[in-house]
Amino acid sequence: MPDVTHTLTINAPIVKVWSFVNNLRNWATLMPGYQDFTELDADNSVWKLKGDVGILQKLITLRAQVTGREEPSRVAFVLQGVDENLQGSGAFVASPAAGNTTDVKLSLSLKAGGLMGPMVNALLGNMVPSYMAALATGIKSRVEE
Amino acid sequence: MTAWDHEFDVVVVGSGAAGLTAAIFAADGGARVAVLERSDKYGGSSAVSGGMIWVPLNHHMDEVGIPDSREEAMTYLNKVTMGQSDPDMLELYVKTMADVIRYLEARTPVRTESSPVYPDYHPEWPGGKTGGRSLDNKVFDTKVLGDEMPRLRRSPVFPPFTVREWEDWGLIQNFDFNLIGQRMQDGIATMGSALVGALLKGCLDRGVKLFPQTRLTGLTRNGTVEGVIAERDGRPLAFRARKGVILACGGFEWNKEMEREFLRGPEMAPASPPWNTGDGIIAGMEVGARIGLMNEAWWMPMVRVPGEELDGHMLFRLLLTERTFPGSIIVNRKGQRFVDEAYNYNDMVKAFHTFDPVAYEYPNIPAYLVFDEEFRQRYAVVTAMPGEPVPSWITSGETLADLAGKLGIDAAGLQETVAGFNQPARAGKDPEFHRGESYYETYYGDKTHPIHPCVAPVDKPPFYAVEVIAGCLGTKGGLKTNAHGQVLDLRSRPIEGLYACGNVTASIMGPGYAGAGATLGPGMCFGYLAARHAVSREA
Repeated sequence: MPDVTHTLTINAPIVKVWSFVNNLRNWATLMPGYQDFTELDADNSVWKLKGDVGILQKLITLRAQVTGREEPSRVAFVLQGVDENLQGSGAFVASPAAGNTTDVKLSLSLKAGGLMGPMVNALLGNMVPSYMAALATGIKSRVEE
Repeated sequence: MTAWDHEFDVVVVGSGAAGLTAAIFAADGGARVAVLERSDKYGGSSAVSGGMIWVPLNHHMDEVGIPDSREEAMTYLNKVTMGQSDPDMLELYVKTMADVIRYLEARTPVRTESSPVYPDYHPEWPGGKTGGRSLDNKVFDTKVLGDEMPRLRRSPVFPPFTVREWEDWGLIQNFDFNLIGQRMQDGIATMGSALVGALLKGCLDRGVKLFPQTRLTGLTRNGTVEGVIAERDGRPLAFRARKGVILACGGFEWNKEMEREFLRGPEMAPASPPWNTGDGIIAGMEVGARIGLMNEAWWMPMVRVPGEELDGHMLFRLLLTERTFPGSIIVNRKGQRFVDEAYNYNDMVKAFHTFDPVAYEYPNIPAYLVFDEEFRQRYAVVTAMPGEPVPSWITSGETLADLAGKLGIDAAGLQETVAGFNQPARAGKDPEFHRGESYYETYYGDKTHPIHPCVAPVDKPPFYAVEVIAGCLGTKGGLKTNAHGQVLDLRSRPIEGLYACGNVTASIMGPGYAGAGATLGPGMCFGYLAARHAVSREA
C-alpha cells in the first residue's frame, strides 16, 4: 500500500497558496497524465488520469470527495476508483513560514483492494511517489508564478 | 558502393525469441553479430506471449513420463497443417527442435520444463498428446541483464507467474498475488519475457551488439544481399552483413494497409506490441522474395478494456478461460451461438469470419460473451475480479431482453438461444457445438464445477456481456524460406545472403496451431538453421 508524504516550501504567502489548492481542479490538472476533471459539487469531483501502470498505460477514473477544509491550512480528501478497486485518502497541510513563505505537506495513501490488491499495490508503490513529486513541483511552480 | 556505418558478419533484424536464438547460434559459430530492434525494448511478440515452446520429442518429456515419436508427431502435424505445408519442413522441425532446446539449456540461461497436462490443441487426433510437448519457461531473474534490464519487454497481460503455477492454482481465487507482487518488485520474469530475458543474456554473454530503436528500412543487394539499411533517431544507418542478414522482425498485424489487403474480416485486434508493421516482409519483397500464407494469422479472440494502451496504441486482452468456464456463451447480433466457444483459440476465431453471401456481411461480427451472475461471482472476466463491483465496460441487464437491448442485438434470438442451451447444459451437455468434449477444453475449464468444467446453464440474473473481437497473436504469412532458413525468390531459388525466421515468414504450421508454442518453436528452430547456414558462407 503506497503511503507517500511530500514536503516543500512555496515562496508565497499562505493565503495565496490556499486560494490555489482550495480548488481541486487545480490539483487534478497538475497530475501527471491528467485527462479530465468533472466537478460534481463543491466537494465532489471525478478525475480522469492516464498513466503507466506497470507495463501498460491505463486511463483511471477516480471519484474525489473533500472531507475537510480548514482555511487556510488544510484540505483533506478521499479517493475511490470507479472501475478499479482503489481506495485512497490524502491531505494538504500548510503552515506559514519565515520570509512570507509557506511550508506544505502533501500526503497520499492509496490502496488497491480485492484479489489482485497485493499485485496492484506493488505497481502503485513504484508509481505513486513520482506522481506526488510531480504534483508538488507543479503546485509550487503554479503558485509562485 | 554502400558506405557502411557498421560491419558485422551476421545482422539479425528483430529481438524476439527467433531473432535472439539466431544471434546466439551465429555467435557460437564464430560470427560477429548485431541485433537490430525497432522499439526501445527487446523481445517483440515473444516477450508478451505465454512463452511456451512446442517441441515434439523434447528431452523433458522423459522427466514427466510421456513418450513421443517422430511418426506420431508427423501424423499429427500433417493433419494440423491440412496439406498446406511442406512435409519436409515439418519433418526437419520435428527432427531438429529438441536438439535446439537441449543446446540452449546447456549453453544459455534458458530453462524450461514440460507440462504433463498442457495438451496439444487437438489431443484426440492421431499423434496428438494430452501433455508434454509444450515447454514452459522457469522464472528468470532479469537483474542479471544489468544495464539492459529495463529494455526487456514485459507482458502487459500476464503477471509474473509460470504456466505450471497457473495449472496448480486453477481459479483466480487461488492465485498467489503476494508472490506475484513480490516478483514484480524483484524483477522476476516468467513466460515469454523469461524466455527472451534468458536468450538476451545469452547474447550479452557472447558479445552480440544490440541496437535498440533501430528500424529496418531496406536491404542492400549487389547480386547477394550485403546488408541492411536502418533508421535510428531519424538518421539512416548502413549495416554490412558479410555472411548474412536474418530477418526476424515479426508479422504485419499492425499494418492497416497490409491487413486490409491480405486478411479476412473487417477488423483486427492484435495482442502483439504495435511495432509489427511488416517491415521485414516489405524489405524482402523489395529484393524479389516470394510470400505465402498471407491470409492467415495466429488467431485469438480478444477483449478491449477501454482506456488501456500499450506503447501508445490500443491494448487488447486475450479471452481464454472466460469462454471456457461453465456459465458463458458467445453470440452474434442475432443472439445466436455460432461456435464451440471453448475450442482452441486459433480455430474458433475462424468462425467469426464466416461470410453470409446473401446478406453480404459477416454475421458473427460483432460477437458478445454473455454470462450470468453466478459466473461473475465465481470467475474473473478479463480484469474484473469475481464478486467485485461490475466495471462500466461490462454491459449488464436484469433480463436477457434488457441485456440484448443494451447491446443492440436480437432479444428474442438471445432468449431462444439461451433457453435452448440451458436445457442440456443442466446435465453438462452441449449437443449443438459439443463444447467441453475435448480434453483441451476441459484443461482450460473449471475442474471444480459441480456440473461440468465447461458447460453450465446461463440462468442466474442479472446477465452480463462484453464484446469479443476477432484478433490475433500475430500474423502467420510472410517470406517463403527453405530448410536453411534462406528466403526464396519468386521461382523458389534462395536469395543469397538473406534469411528469415519467425512471424516474418510463411509459417510451416499452415492454417493450423499444433499446440502452445507452435509459433515460438518453429521461429527458434529456423533461427538456428538460418544462423548455421549463414556462418558457413564465405564472407
